[in-house]
Amino acid sequence: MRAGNGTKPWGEVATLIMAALADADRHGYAIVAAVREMSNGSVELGTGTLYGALERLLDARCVSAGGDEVVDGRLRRYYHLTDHGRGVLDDELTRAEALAAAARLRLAGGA
Amino acid sequence: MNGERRLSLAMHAFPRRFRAARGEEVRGVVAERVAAGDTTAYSWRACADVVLSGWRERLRTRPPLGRYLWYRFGGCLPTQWHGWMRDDLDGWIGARWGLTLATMMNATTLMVSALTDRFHGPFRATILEGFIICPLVGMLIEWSTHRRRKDVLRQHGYNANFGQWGPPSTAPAGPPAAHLVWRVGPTVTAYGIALAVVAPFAAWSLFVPSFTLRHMKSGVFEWGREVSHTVLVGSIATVAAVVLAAITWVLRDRLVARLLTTADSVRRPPWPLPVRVEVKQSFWYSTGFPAALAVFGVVASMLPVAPMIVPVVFLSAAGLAPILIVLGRRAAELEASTGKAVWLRRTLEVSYAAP
Repeated sequence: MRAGNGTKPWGEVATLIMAALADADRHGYAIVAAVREMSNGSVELGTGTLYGALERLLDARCVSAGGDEVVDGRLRRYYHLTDHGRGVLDDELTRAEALAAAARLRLAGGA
Repeated sequence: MNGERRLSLAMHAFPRRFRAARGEEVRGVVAERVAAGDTTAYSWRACADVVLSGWRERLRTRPPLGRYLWYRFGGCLPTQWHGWMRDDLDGWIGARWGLTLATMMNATTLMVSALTDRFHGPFRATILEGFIICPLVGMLIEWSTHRRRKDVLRQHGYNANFGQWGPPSTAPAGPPAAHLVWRVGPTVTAYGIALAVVAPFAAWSLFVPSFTLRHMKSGVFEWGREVSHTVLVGSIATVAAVVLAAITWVLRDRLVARLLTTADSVRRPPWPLPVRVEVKQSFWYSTGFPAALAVFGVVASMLPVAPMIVPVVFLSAAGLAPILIVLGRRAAELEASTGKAVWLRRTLEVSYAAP
């Protein structure tokens, strides 16, 4: 996606990051931990992947960067899911649910 | 290579603006992973992930081909690509300097060859290339780099009064004095010592036509028989470096006060950097140094011991390292205590020179 041209920044990673931010603002490592927890340990976000996806979400204004804090000499920046981001996440989950329902129907019909 | 170093290198895959804005944060996340017991945080695989994501980010944020060509031929870019544009203007400084230096050194060699009759090819071609073409090319590279940056920034509505190390309002990548000086000190030392070792060979072979390697060996290695020019000059150079280092150490406080300043203590005039300053700089970079060496070559051809001054100069330069390191430390302390960026005063004054 190019900044501001309206193309969607999705992929599974972007959706997972938005989901991780849905209930609270989180910093980078907290997002990694939340995604790990949500996926029962099956998805481990790499640091590069995380920040690549965050940049796309920031450009699309789905996520905004909040306050910084320094903990044990490490810089933490908190990210917030915007209202636009919530709408986008909702649409994406609805689409995924519809897709899953259609797939289940086909699976049941084929059995 | 340790993990942190590997990660730092991998981070260079991301654009400069990303590193400036998020570099510390990314390192913080990796450090937290390590603290949480993740043994793969600095692994090759993790670094490859950073590299791939960085290049993906570069590709994503660069202008499309049409816009890119438009910009290259003098057009304006829309604001969404201004971040990329600033990276483009500030990046590859090393390569540009390298190109200028290579041209300059080529010119020097050719000039000296022409003047000392050691060149065996067509003499006119040497004169033409060494005295005209190479200096002109070097000057054009320097000049176009400076001009282009300012022109493009002005064209896009940015304040172009400041040079590469402009105050924070013009968004430099980081606090320059501390970081730069820290790096320059050890580099100057290393180069000074390396060049001092190489210089006698280069100087004698370049300036003294009858020189052979055998002469050098007999001078350097037969310690018991005689003190050669090489040993003598090497000793003088080492003493000069040590004395210079001692003097700079003693004068460090005075030098720090003279050389460092905070950005807001410098007035900000509305005029742009005059073109003639840039032309003058580029002229000296590209022609002054080679010309001086060429004159030196003439002197050396008449006075064979003269080339030995070269290692003295290089090794003495290593004596400047302590003041650079002291400046770097002091700049970092000043930045921490005042919360303001600290700059090398002269750079700002050059940038603020009145027309």
